[in-house]
This record gives sequence, C-alpha cells and structure tokens, in this order.
Amino acid sequence: MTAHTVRVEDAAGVILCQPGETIVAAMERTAMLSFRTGKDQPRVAVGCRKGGCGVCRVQVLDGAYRALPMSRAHVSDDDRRDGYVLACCVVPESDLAVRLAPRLPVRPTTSTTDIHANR
Amino acid sequence: MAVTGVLRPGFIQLRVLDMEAAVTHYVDRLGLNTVTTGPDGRVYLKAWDEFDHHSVILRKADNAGLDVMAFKVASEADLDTFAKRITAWGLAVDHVPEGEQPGLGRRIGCVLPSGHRIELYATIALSEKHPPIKNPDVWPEEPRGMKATRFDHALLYGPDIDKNLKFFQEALDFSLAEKIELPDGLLAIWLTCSNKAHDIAFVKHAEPGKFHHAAFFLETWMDIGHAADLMTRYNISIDIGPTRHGITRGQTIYFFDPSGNRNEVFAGGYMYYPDNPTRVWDENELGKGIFYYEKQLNERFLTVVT
Repeated sequence: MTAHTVRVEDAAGVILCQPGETIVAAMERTAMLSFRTGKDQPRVAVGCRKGGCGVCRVQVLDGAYRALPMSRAHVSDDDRRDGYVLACCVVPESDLAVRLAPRLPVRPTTSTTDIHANR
Repeated sequence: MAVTGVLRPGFIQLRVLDMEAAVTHYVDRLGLNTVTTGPDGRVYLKAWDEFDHHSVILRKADNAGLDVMAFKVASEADLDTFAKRITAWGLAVDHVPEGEQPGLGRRIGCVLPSGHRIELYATIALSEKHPPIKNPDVWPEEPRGMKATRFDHALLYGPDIDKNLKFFQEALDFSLAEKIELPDGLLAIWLTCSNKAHDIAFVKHAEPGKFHHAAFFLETWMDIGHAADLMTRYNISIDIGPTRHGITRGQTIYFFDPSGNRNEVFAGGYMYYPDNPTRVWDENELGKGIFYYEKQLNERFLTVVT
C-alpha cells in the first residue's frame, strides 16, 4: 500500500492520498500543510463528505480506484460507467487524473409509493 | 393558550445509503435507542426521553434525503378535522392505514408547495423503553453517546415557502416565530406549533423537496461540547460548530450522517408563546442570525442539501 497522487485538470499541484484515504479527506487534511509550504494544491468543493450531496462530483480520466457508497441522485449507473464519481467516496488505488464535473440536476422528490415500500 | 391540535414533530423518515453505518451513527454516536426493524428493512429508533414508539426511521435507498416528516396531533377527531382543513386549503390529502409502521395508527398525508411530504397522526404506542412515569428517575438507563433527548425539528429547502407559511398558519395553526426577509422576499421561516422556537423551518431553494437537517435536542451547552469531542474522536463529518444561532438563540453543531444527511445537535433556544411578535432578520445582519459568533454564513449552509 502506497500513497497515490491525484491531479485535477487545469489545476496546479497534486493531492496526496494516503492508503485508504478519500480524495476529499486527503485534500482537507493537507490543506494547512499546503498553506505552510506555499505549494499549490488542487481544490475540490467540500459538502457532506459522505456521498449524499453531490457537490464534489468529478470525472476520473485515468487511474484505478475503489468507490464507497454514493447517492445515485448525483451519480447514475451510466455516469459510473463514464467515470463520474463523488470525490468524497473515491479511494485511489493508483495515481489518478480527474476533472471537476458539476452535479446533475436532482431528480424529483421520491413518490409516496417509494416511501411506503411494503404497501 | 394550551398546546392543542398539532402537538409536536412526531417522526422523520430519512433515506440512507448504508444501513449498518447509519445505525452506528444514530445509535452509538447520537445516542438513539433501537426500537425494531420492520419487515421491509426500515429501522425504527427513538431518543431516550421520548415516550412514543419511535421518532426516527431509516430506509435504505440508493440516494439520501427526506421521505417524510410527521407531526402528532392531540386526538383522532383532530386528525379528521385537519384532513378537512387541508383539503379546504387546497392540498390533496391521502390516507395511510394503521400498521404501515409498527406501533403507529392511521395517518393523513399531503405534499407541501415546497415539494415535501408531511403527515399527521394521533395514535402511537407507548414505547417499551419510555422515560419512567412513577417516582421517575432522571433517566431509565444512562444516556449514551451525544445523549440526544428527542427529535426536535427539521429544516427543509424548497420553492414557494410563502405558500408553505400560509398553509402552516391557516390549515395547521402554526405560528411564525422568526423569519429572514430580504429585499426580494422571504428567504427563510421558522414555524412553531408549541412553546419551542421552531418545530419546522423552511429556506427558499430552487429544487423542491430538499432536506437540510434533522435536529436532536441536547440538554446543555456542555453536552454540545461533549458531542463535538465525539465527532472528532469518531471522525464524523462536521459542517460547522460548536456555535450559536442568533435565530432561535440555540447552541448548535451541524454535522453529517454517513449518507450525507445533515444532522444538528441543538441546546437552549427561547420559549415561544403565540402572542410573541415574529422576530425579523434582514440582509444587513443575516450572518449573525444564522451563526451568531462567526457572523457569516458558510457556503455549505446554503448549498449542501440531500
């Protein structure tokens, strides 16, 4: 297990993820270090950090990763095949290159039928 | 005036991505008690200081957010009256039969102009582990984790909150305790049916039916500090806090459950009476209204919802 770098398209520097660490967690943990050293570090928007809100949506252009559970309201199955993920749910398994990807419009409110699953 | 009609928030049903992680969060960290798991897999929880059967329901889904928030009303007769009043006000009322959730009687439901579903019910079983009634000790078993005493309120994001305001005032007899009024109209409303500063609140937002947070009451500012310690110790995702709201004057931390649904632990807050004037915040002091010490909003407060 080694650390992996994450490059963000059109941004200087890298985010260095420790083994098992998500992109967002690594970025937040090292933000202060980056400030002290003056080295650039890419920024990804930080929301809930748990795969629910969608603000940190990115497209992985290159590299291998493991994905934690994330909301399909923001990343559909088709999106997943195209490499779209939420950066807070991505654990790199190699060096990664990603592009910031604005979230999709959220689908309409869940219907009553969905809510009462056993009716 | 006694509390009549709609008494209080009763339960909230949230969608979660990972049930095991959600249960660890709500039970071990927040301190809710497990009541039961339903045949469809929904998990029913309650806080230690609540008498009723359950107050939080977790439903596994592929996206996070709010299914429904329900309020308890004083009697079955009230339930029939509210069904008529909601229909007369102009919203369609549907009926959910007794037994759709364990321990719960029949409910009526409607979808608000903001796109959120609310329900009303009158009958729910007394919980097995309810607070003691005869010669009561302060608690039946020592509270755990953040020691949440009750599901307190929710803040929801959606359009047409002016209509929501009229609905809650005209059809359900809620009062407007506090509001943010900007030059281009209402931004946010804090509504109460009780002596609490808020039982439900809404912020104007383009997308309908969005969920901002479910709040759980803690007894003291010291408990808020203890909750903050637990959040760092267990690496819980914190939004902001510990801090205080100008609005409601509550002491608070915002944080996220493992599916990204925002939670709040909340202590203090003023007592509200129906003859109190509505407190008003404008664009000049909005930051102080939301976060009294920071005196500014964080970006997440207005944009991150499930």
